[in-house]
Amino acid sequence: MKSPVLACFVSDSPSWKLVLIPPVALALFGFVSHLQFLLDGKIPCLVLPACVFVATFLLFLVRHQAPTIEHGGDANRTPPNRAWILFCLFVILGALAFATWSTLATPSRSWDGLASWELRSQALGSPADLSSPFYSDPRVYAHSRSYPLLQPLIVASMSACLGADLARIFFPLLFACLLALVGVSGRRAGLSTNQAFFLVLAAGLTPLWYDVGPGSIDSGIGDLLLSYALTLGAIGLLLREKLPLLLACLLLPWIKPEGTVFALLFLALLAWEGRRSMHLFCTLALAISLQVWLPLRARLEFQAAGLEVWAGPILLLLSLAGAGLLARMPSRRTRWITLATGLSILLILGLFLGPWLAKSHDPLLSVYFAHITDLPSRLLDLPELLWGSLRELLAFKRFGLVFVLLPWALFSASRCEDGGDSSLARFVWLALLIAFVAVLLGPAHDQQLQFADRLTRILLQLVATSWLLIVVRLLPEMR
Amino acid sequence: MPRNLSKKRAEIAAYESMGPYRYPFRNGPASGEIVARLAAASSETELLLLEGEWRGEIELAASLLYPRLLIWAWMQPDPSQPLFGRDFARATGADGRDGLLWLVSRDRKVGIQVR
Repeated sequence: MKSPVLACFVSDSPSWKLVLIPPVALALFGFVSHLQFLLDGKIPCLVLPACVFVATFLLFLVRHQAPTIEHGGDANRTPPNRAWILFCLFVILGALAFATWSTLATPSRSWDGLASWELRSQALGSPADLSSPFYSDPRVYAHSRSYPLLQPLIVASMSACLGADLARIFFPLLFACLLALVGVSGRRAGLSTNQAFFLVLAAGLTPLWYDVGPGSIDSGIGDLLLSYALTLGAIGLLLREKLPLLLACLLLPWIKPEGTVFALLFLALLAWEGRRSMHLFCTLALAISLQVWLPLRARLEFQAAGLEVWAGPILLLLSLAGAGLLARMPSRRTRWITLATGLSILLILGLFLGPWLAKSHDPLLSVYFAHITDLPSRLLDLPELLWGSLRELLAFKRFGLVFVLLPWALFSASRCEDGGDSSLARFVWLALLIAFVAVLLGPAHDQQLQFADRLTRILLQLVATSWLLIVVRLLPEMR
Repeated sequence: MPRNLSKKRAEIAAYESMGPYRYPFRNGPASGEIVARLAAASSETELLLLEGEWRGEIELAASLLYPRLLIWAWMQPDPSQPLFGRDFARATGADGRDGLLWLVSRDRKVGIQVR
């Protein structure tokens, strides 16, 4: 069966389609669930498996005859080394078995996993809905009631389907999906099979995934899902594929508040690079995502929906106007001057509106703007903050060698022509900058927490993306 | 990996020996005892009155005590009446008098009172 519409988004490679099933299913599930909640409906436990089925059907419906995108070509590739592949499979399966065991051994053992993520899953009930007093009555204590709901929804649905004890298998399964996505994308980016397995091994063995505390696979916190969606978007940039980017922009706001920031970063990059059609699709995806999430969040905060109702159209308008403006500036110098002016205006506005934004109901705004008036004095701590961030980046016991090798990959990508590699490098640069700004805007009295918690978790979200860039850039002669 | 494996094994062993109520409060064992006592003294369908701060150990307590719901006392003027068709938990205090169970959140710690 031919489907020309879908063919625009997916090319005809079975392994590629296979790794896209989970994100397409999650996007369908997220959209249906948020819409149902807005209409005061319930989410029966079969909706999640039905979304997986529909995603599989849609993806394999495509019969697109265009050649598979292979960035490097096959001619000079080294043949697969069976011993190496068996070794990688053995190690990765061992790591996954370890993660599965530690995840299923007990309920969540980390603070945020227990206090926020697990509680919100349980309170959704079966079939999941928002009618429980936990969500519907302000007299009930709920620490993070209005946090994004996608992961609690997934875990609640899996709990209804598989039982509460097995529901947490979602986390090692998601990690396996992340590694498969990274490996297949590496192949599509032109890596040989041996190199793709090296990439999977490197991304999969980052120590922090298996450590004790926040960020680890078994912690039950949304960082793993956010990392998955971010990697998906980064792969879209690298391979210049619409579907992964579109899915990332749709999923990110439903996972964690900072997801919206990363989705906006994708839009900004696409506009900067003048990729009009991809920018339009991703803007539409983010607009839909915010349009179904923000009114729901207002309801969870017991607020009357104000601007939230118009979130989608407002984003659409601003994003398209911004992209149109950039398109009218062919010279890079003019663009940089406009960008610097825009950022300066935003910074001044942020300083003036900071105290007001700190009182916002938005968890992201209230956390990050609470200390923005301290920013001028924080700049005096800049050397200390830079040193602390650098120490965190080079912490071998947490991140292995990823951020030691990353500068080489970023430098190498900056020398190449405009292409997927340089897009990805720009994204990584800006995401690292966002991580640093998150530390800069944190409370000065709790600096150690800023490094140990906030920065570490954002860096972990970028690990798979960074390894992808490293392997694609630093092993080019073998591609 | 071997280092993380042994850390995880130790973490899971600690969880199993301390139990679900005490393990999350391993740095402040008194709070774990309080939450365990509250869980034993109330049924899962009951409500608990809460006063004090919204941050700190109360975040863990709310999750561990679920499906018991914590109700902000300042928003519930008459706890003698059921709410959501559920009763508020009662207990006998140290002085032998019967009263409502209160969870108090102060200085990031949790406490228990019978009033």
